Amino acid sequence: MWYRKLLLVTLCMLLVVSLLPVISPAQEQVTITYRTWEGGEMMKVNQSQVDAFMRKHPNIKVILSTVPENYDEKLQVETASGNAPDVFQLSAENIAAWGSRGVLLDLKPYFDASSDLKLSSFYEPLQRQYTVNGKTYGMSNAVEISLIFYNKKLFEKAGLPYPAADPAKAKNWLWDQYVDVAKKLTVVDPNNPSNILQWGTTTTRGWVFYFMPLVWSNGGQLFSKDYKEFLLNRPEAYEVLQKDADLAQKLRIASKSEDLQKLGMGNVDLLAQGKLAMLITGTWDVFSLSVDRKFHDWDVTYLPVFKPGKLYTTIPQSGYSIYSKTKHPKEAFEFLKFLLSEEGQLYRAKVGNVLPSIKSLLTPAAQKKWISPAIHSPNFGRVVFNYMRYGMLLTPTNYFPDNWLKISDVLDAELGPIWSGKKTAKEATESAAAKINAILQGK
Amino acid sequence: MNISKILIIFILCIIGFVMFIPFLWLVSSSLKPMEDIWVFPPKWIPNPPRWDNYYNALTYLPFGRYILNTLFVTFMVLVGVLLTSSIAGYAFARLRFPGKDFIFYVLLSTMMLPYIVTLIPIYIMFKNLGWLDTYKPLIIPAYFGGGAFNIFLFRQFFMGIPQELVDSARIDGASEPSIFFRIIIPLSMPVVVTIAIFTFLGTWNDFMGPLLYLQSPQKLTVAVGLSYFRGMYSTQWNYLMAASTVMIIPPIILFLLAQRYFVRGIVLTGLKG
Amino acid sequence: MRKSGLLRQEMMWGYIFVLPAILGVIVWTAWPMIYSAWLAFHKWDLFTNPVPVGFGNFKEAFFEDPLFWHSLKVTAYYTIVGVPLQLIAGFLLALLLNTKIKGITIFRTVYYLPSIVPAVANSVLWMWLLNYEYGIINTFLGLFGVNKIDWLGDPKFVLPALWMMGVWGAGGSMIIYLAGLQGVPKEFYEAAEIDGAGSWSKFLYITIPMMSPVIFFNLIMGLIGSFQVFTVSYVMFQGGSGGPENAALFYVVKLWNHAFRYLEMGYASALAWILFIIILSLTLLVFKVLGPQVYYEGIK
Repeated sequence: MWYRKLLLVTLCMLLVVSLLPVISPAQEQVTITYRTWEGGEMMKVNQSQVDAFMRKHPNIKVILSTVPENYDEKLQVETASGNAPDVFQLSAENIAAWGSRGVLLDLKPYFDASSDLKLSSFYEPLQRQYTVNGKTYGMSNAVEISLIFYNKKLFEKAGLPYPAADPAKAKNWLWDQYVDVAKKLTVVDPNNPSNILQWGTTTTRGWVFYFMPLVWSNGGQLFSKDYKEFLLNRPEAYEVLQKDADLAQKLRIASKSEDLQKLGMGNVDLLAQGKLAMLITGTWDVFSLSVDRKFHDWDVTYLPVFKPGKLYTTIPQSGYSIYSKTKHPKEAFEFLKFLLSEEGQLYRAKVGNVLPSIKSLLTPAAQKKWISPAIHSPNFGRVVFNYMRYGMLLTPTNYFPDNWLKISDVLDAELGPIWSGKKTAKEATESAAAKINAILQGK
Repeated sequence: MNISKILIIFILCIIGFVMFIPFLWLVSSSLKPMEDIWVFPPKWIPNPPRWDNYYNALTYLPFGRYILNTLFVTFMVLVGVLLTSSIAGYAFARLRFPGKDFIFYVLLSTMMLPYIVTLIPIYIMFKNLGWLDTYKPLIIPAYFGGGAFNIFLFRQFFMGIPQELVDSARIDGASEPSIFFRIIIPLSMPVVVTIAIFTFLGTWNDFMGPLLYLQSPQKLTVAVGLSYFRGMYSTQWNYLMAASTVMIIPPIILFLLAQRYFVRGIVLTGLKG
Repeated sequence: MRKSGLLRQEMMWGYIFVLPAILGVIVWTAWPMIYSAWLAFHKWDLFTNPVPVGFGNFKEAFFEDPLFWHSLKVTAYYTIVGVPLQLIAGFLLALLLNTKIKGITIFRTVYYLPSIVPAVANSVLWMWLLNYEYGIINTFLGLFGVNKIDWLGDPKFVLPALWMMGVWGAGGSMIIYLAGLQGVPKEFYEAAEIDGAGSWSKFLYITIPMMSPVIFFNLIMGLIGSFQVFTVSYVMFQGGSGGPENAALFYVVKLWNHAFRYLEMGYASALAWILFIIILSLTLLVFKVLGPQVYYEGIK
């Protein structure tokens, strides 16, 4: 019965073959740590992102490590000791300083080798901000720009048209017209002229990311092209700062810090409660308004300009980097890719506090994937997509150089008195120039 | 009751009210919905009180686990500190040995260098010992002197104990350890209790230590857990206040329990004879 | 023979009792301190190797750093006023809490509360207390016809605000004073009363001397702590910014900026050691000058 033996042998072979997947070695488990500073509501969002990634990549385990306080200390102590997490959040201000010192993995080769996600997939200014001397030290999955939020009801009450959603109109929205509108939206207590019931607008509160678009629109600059000279002490720059501060100090159509203290609330609350008509802030306040305060009668517009023809805005930033000494660069990049992919970015963009950084989501057609009427205003997508085309970085080097944090601290300390009325913009910028030029040229 | 007592009670009440306000605000905020926390002027009595803030806050993260962890670390540290800093304090106070003053100043000087510049070398040390992500960096140093602050405080108190007590015990042939444990300590309950209170509070609230040395989520302590309510753009104040309120209960319990021992230790009757 | 035997015993136990502490210093503290002293003569950005610069950091601190002297001045000013304030406040509170009335335990617990309320709640609370329009402090001052003060925005008033916060936090030292008061034998007071001493005399000649060890302790610890003041400024003024016109830019706040913002750990170490020498000198001075004034009942 030779064919019975043949059948038996064949059956045995089939059995062995079918068992092979079970006895072959399991894929190696790799564990990587992912560090963020986002506590509160974002913790759960981040964990969902991590879980989604792990489902797609069963051989990679990602541990989410959240450090809402003392983030820099912990990260720097770990890095200085050679013990840093594999993927971590890092402010764009640190990219060049850390990257040039060998702490961050150069992602360019990884992006070049990747088939689905390239550097060119991202919003242009980000590509420049994260690339230092040809090396890409990180990337962000979030864009934020400076712009104006306004309270629609207050405009209606005053009989004024809403500010422009159309960039062509906005390019001609000059400072004086803006001030005029703000004046019409400021309501003074008839019984007590020093009591303002409704503020027309806010100042830039001295934050460089808020006032630079105004300065640029007047032909002013922050630094010279070779990054060796501080230029805010030129008239085209300090005039702008003075005019902005005067909105609060002289014209009383914007609040000073004492006014805010008197009211006991911040600008976002004032807007939501109908006590403020226009607010200069960043796109992150979408969340504060719609979700935190459940206020939906707002919309967005562009910052005014001093000279017509072009729009300007800034991009405050933070993103992710990979530790240069990570033991699992491939897996870390795989995870980073997920965070940066369209799918990964939707987790965050839908929450409402950031805009996506990937170009494929930044088109009017892709809007509905992350813009929702429950959270975003009707003109939000339109204004933001148009405005992003004019996003500019603060330094001529396109990335934040080593000494940026020091300069930024001096800048804040020296220019603060302008908005508290203690110094004129001319004096303050002159004093700032002396100190900042020393840093730029000397040490 | 005489006038001065009434006056004292009056002042006590006024200052007491001022001291009570932060606690009032803490509890009041813990029972509010998010939108009401920053309303000005503040509504002291939330209506209706949101007791579910407590439930939500404590289940948002495994606070039960955190509390157990923190109790463990705090207890271990308490034992170490009380033991090693008291004997060191006593040695500096009453025992004579060469180099005593020099050693004392060296000990004191360890408190004079800002912690920021020793963070990294200490971290590297613990890393090389393999103690990262364990409780060892938090507990073991407590058994090695427990800190110059505690040693110095013990020293000051021990120097106030009459020499006669010690001398007569020595003459009776008692050894130094037995003098210490049988005579000195019972007379020093106020300072022992004070240091217990400080140490408990310090360890219970310690944030930097657990932040730097612990990694695994199940090992974290209450102080670290509290920080998780801080969001990037908005902090969940009501949950944070609720969790904080729960967090101050153990120190209060300890304080109340400790009051029993906070009594006059030195009894001089029988000495002047 | 017996005496030297006893003395040797005492010496032996002295060393044994301080052994854990000495070991602690050698293992945990000596090496990090030596390392940071070494770093003070280098430039170190945390990520690359330290570069030796000799006395460069010290030269920069004393002659080139625009805010070095400012931060030292602010810190010294804070200490000179703040420490005595806290000493006196803690002492007075302890005296108050030592009165024999029913329910004093409740008062003690209430006075202890501010020091256990978590820092984050405390700082928020103080922002409210110091509020320009509604803060209790301005309202209280208004009763006396004083204009409203912008405590946290006006550089002139930032330190006074921080002094107030420091006095508030005197709850810790108050407990130490209380413990000290328990250690004053009531027989002393009784004997003095028999001799006809009044309250003020009792206070001056019994309470103060018997409390001097504890007062001395709080003075030294206050000095050491106050020169290193950090958290209150860091928390009230947005992570190390130093407040309006750097009015709250304490020495250690600036140090922190150099260590963790500007990647200048070598310079930060130099700053730390300059502070160390200042604090050590002051402490030794206080020990030498005021130390002998302290009355220890046990040392006759």
